[in-house]
Amino acid sequence: MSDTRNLLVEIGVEELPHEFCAQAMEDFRRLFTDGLKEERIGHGSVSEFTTPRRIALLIEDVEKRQSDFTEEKRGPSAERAYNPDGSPTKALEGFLNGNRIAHDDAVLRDTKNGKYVFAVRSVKGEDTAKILPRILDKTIRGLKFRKTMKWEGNGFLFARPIRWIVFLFGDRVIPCEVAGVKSGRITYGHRTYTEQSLEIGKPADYEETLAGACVVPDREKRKERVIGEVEKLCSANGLAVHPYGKTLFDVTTDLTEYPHAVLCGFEEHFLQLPPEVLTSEMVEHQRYFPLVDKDSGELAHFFIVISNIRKNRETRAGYERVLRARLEDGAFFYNEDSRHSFDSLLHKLKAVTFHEKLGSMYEKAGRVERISLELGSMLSLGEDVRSAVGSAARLCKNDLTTLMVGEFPHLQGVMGYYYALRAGLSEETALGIREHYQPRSAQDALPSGNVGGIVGIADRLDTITGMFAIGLKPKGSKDPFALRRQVLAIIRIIIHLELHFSMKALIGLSTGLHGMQDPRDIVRDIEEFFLNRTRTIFGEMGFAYDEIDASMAGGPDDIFDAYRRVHALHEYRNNADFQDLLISFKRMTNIVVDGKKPDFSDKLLNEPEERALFDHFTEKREVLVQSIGEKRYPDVYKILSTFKPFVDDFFDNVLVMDENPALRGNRIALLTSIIAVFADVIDFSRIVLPGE
Amino acid sequence: MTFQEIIFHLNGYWAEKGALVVQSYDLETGAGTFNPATTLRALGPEPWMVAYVEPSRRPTDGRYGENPNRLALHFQFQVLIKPPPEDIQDLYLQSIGTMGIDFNKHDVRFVHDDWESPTLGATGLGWEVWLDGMEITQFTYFQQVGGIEVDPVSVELTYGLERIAMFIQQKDDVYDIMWNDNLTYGDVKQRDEFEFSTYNFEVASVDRYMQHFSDFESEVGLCLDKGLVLPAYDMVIKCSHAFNILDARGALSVTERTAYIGRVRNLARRVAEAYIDSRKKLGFPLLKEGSS
Repeated sequence: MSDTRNLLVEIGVEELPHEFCAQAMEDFRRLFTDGLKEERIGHGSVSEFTTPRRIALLIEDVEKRQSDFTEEKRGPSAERAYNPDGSPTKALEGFLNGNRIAHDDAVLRDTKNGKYVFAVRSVKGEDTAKILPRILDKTIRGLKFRKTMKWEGNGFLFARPIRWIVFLFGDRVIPCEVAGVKSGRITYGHRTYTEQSLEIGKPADYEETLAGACVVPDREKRKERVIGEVEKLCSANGLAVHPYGKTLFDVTTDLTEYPHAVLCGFEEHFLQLPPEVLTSEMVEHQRYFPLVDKDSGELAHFFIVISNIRKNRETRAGYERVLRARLEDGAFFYNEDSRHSFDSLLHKLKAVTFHEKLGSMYEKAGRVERISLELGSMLSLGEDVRSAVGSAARLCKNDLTTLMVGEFPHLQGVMGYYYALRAGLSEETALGIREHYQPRSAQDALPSGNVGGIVGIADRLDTITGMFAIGLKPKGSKDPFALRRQVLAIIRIIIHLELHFSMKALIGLSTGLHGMQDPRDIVRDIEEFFLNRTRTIFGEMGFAYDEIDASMAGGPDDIFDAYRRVHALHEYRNNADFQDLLISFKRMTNIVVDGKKPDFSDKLLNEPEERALFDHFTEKREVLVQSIGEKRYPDVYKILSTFKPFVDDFFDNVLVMDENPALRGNRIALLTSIIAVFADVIDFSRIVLPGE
Repeated sequence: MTFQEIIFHLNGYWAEKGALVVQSYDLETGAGTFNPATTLRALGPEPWMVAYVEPSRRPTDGRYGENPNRLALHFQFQVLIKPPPEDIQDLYLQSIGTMGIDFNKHDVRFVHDDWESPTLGATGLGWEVWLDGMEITQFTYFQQVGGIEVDPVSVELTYGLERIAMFIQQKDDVYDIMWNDNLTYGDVKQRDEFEFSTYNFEVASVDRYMQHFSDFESEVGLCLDKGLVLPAYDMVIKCSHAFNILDARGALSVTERTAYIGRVRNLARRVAEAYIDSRKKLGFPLLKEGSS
């Protein structure tokens, strides 16, 4: 093995945003080792490190020199390189001089374009130490962050200011300068426990030197330590981390260099607050782990803080004081809010603007109620569900005027749920209020029941039709009210809750509620918007565009039905035979296209294959019509596949375009009626054949 | 350490580090950032290092003197340094460490925060400084002011004086802070909170404040036409305060609110551009020779 040394590089920074740490460390490793590879410098194992104040790499056994290599360069062709007498031409001499090689180092080689002169030069590897600065420079400049900043005179951009660079190759410093910072062997330990700078003698000392200065630079070890300490405290006290707190393991790892878990508590009476209020305060604001009782799963009046210093009584008192102040705020809001009857808040919505041209939230709630009730009857829901839908829709925005939602906007819906229950409304209604905002994002849960789903659809549809009505429809990349996402949410709810209804009818109703003189153009626009969005969303779900077009030829009326049609088609299409069958049916549509349907008589079926096809069709027709009527689409495609041998035989042996117009007409009529039966399920003409 | 001693300490500390210590501005500002000693001085190439206390009016945060943590007017201690010294984090930590806060016993943390003042068209990156989980300071490297990319960058430290006093004095209620050895914060300010909350939320005349806003807005143009940048900036502060009152009165819908913010930002941008021009005409007098 060639001569090697260990290499250490550490970028010291003012505290990086915690969400950047893990990614920056990974990118740093990748970019730096890519750089070594590009420069033909071999190396051994790589360890990476990150804390809020540093990103570092320790690379073992880095070769001291780049490997040698042979460089070849193509010159002029043999004809151009040599005169007829064999002496070199000007062109060849120019090439040799330009590459600074002797005539003996030029060789002739066959290429697919004939003989050419090649200059062959062996290049000696350079000292790695000379190359390292440019690898580091390129690496640091290559790190990408969601947001960068300037802090020094040259306007260098990085996530936070760079304050030191350690760059050691063996025991030697590799001199370089990035963002006005010169490399050296000086690093810094924990802010509290080491005031002095630390000198690193050689790369292998890195982790130990920092450990002595109260820094755990290895992110995995630090995270294990956080998890270990939290688990130890939990199990000693019969507690467990609340699911909402699980994301904090990474966050707190990236907020500390020397983590210690501290068990803290708050006064038990705060547990009367809705648990979401408590956990929001702890997780969102304070990055404290909320805890639950291990057996009951109920929220406990304890929490864990990951401190960056050793445990002591004063820190704990401080953590508790901060949370207490926040919870007192929360309790004050909750009690103030509960002094008003929940129903009466509806009138306060008159003062909350939805949009200046679309009136107040009070008016919006009224429209949402109308749409929800209509949807409820379109879905033929029972009387009790419809009554819950009506109340949930009317009251779904009431919590917007509460102090708690003013303080924690993300608790809208959640607070509505609690205040509705406090006001004696049914669980179903309260849950509908809570869930009508779901899904808030791609990861969020969908409404668990019809009430939240229906109100959620109505609320979003009202926003969409309203924005279209005042001319604020999405254009290009501009979609300030996220209307596209709202359609996505509507479609996801429809599929999740399996809701069959006419979207066109609902769009018509909703648009009509915005008081326009003549909403017809707008309605058409909105229908088109839904159609386009539905296609796109189905496409994102993994369906092919021809499957979508073939299944949605009638427009997005019953979206769930369209989904089931496209889903069934997609499932069957994986089968190769079925693919062939689709091709045959597409051929049929090409034949019958724009032909009026001629008369049909089974007496004119004179070829056995057309007779067989007709008989099969006759045999299957009834069950087919029934399956279609009952929207059992997988069954429809199952029956469709049974046509395969008959259709193949038919096209192999029967000429549709017979010279005899009566026979021709009869065959077209047969094919037309077969296709017509499937018309409500699939438009075969929209299927795109391979290579089309 | 009493409330006033904390202020004495910070004034002394930063004066000793070379800062110019000035007084709070004489108009209603929403934060120390609004003081022209920050907003305007952060613009252009001239170096600057300043410290001052700024009474900061946030009408919507008023709680009639009844909430232990919220105030319609609180005090910020503001430091602005251009360009930022390399050891600025250490300088900052010393400034609170020397108040007797022992970092062996208290967990100090820099938790990232992307700061923005939509009315001033200002943005910056930095941190909230946490002491045992309590935010005590906003620490920001300005990137834009008045919509203009700043060069060189300034660093801004905004200490929440009440928070620091509550921490040091171990008080759970802002009104229990000892202002000096005899009087509490409540003795001095609680009645103010009640009266101003009442005025801001219930009494202030919406029509008149809307008129004030438009008047001050027009005044900005009048000043700029005469090349009077500093009076123009005063009018921006007045607009911003009028907007804050209208906001507290609940007089603005969401879209109106956005529109008002846009109007103030637009004024701030015009003034910022005019300020740089005017300093340029003066030859950037604070630039040391050869350091341009």
